[in-house]
Amino acid sequence: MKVYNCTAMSVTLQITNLTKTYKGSKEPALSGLSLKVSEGEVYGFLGANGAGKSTAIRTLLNFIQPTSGTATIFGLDIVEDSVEIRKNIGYLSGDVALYPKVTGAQLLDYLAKLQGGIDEKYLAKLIARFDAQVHKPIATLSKGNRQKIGILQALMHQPKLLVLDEPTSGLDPLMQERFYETIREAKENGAAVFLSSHSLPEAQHMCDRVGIIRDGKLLREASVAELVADVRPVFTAVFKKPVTKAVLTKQQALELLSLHGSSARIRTVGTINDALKALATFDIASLSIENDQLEDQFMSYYESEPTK
Amino acid sequence: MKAMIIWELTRRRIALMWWAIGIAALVALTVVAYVTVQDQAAELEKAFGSISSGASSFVGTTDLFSPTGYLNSNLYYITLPILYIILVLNLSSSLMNKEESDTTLELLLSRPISRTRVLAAKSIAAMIAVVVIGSVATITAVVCAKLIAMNISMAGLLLVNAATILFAASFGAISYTMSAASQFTRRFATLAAILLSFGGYIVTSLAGNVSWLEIPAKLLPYHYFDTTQLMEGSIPLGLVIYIVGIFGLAKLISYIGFRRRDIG
Repeated sequence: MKVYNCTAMSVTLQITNLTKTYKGSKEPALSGLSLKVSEGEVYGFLGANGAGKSTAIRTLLNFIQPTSGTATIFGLDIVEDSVEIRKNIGYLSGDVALYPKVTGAQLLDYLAKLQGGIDEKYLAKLIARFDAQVHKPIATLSKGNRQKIGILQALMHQPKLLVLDEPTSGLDPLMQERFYETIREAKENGAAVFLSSHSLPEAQHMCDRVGIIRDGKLLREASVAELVADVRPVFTAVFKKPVTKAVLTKQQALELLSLHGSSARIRTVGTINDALKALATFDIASLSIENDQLEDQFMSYYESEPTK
Repeated sequence: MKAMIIWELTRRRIALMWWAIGIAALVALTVVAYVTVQDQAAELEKAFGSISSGASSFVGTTDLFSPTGYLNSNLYYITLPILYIILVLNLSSSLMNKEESDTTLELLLSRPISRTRVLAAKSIAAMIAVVVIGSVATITAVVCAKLIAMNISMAGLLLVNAATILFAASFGAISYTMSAASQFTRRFATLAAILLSFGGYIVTSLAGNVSWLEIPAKLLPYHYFDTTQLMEGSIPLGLVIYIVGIFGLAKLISYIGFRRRDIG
């Protein structure tokens, strides 16, 4: 067993220049990925479909072999020591596949045996929290209820690292909230969480840091607060009297996006305070701020030219 | 590993039970039906004496109405091996190929179990299933043969049953190994095992009459599956070498291939 020198004892997952090129493909699905996730940290791995999120996760779980680069979990090599590592990993795949003919309880019991035993009380608590239907055959469950079984099997052994691929897919808002609460508890208990998502609001809700991936490359890594700070808010202002484009473009603190009659979409240039001061010089009937700007920020990484 | 073996057998228990009942019923009916021919065996032998060697090669014997010839032609040369081969190919496909294409294999491999143990547990489960079903068939054959006082060596009957199970299981091992070895071979695993078994049967059966098929037939497993010799209580050396070799190779290739290959 190779044990790597983990100088920062809090580092749970460390990926260094990880590259994966599938057989028969010229382009790498994952290209030189490097990142770290620490104990008690929730890391959101964001990207569109096909960006390389699942490839990264499947490589970490040793389902597929890296073409080059290394990764360690708990200081152990993901290829050489994968069995040892998996004692403390909880994994939920993107499109969770379960055995359809058995009940959730039978499946969880089986997986618990393979895991080497679990705390039954904790599992009972999770079943109650998610209101999971564990006594029905899995084939009869809805997507959301199957996802709950998937979440239970990932969490039931209280792993030190949770690797979750699109974990809230199919869950209703109430269950999503319960899932977030469970992740917060795991984080408080020192677990590291590495989750992939294509929803930035979800990452904003759960994550301490996010990495944005596109075409297998990590484009940006930042805390959620840093990403939010990057956002230049967009306002929709409705003026009591029509204003001209020339008047609005004169304002240095504002960037006019569109003007239709007396309604204008305006992006802040400097601080929000400066923008509000500039807007205050007009006679305003109503002012609203757009809510999905973080999503727009995320999308901007995808709207630019391809990275390859 | 024990949990995995129990799981694989438990979730297939109904299907396996029906397989056991079906095969046992076929064996019982075939053996018991011998009472309808045993009194006229000599006459029937004379009447069918002119059967062409080409036709007789497809049932593995020219002696169709002696106890050995009857069981050989009606059960052990083709019928029972075909059923066992269908069973083992079905098992090998659902244990490995289907689990991988359904991605439930990832559910198992996300637990702290090595790939080697997963491979071993699944092959042991398949072997247990085949041996249990084969044992039911063997016991049925022995009991029915005793019941109708069939003039046959019980040791030979046990031997041919055991050899038939292992011979069929070898095709399961080939399919299982191809499923495990690589993503490329996985696609052709069942097809290759079917071609090797049924194709082998046809080529071996034709080889007696088509001279140029004699050499290729020697390369095929069916050539060494001499049920007449087995029922007489002796073990064909070629069959032993084939079975030991194929299981040894299967273990080695699947271990090397599956250890580090991409899943999914």
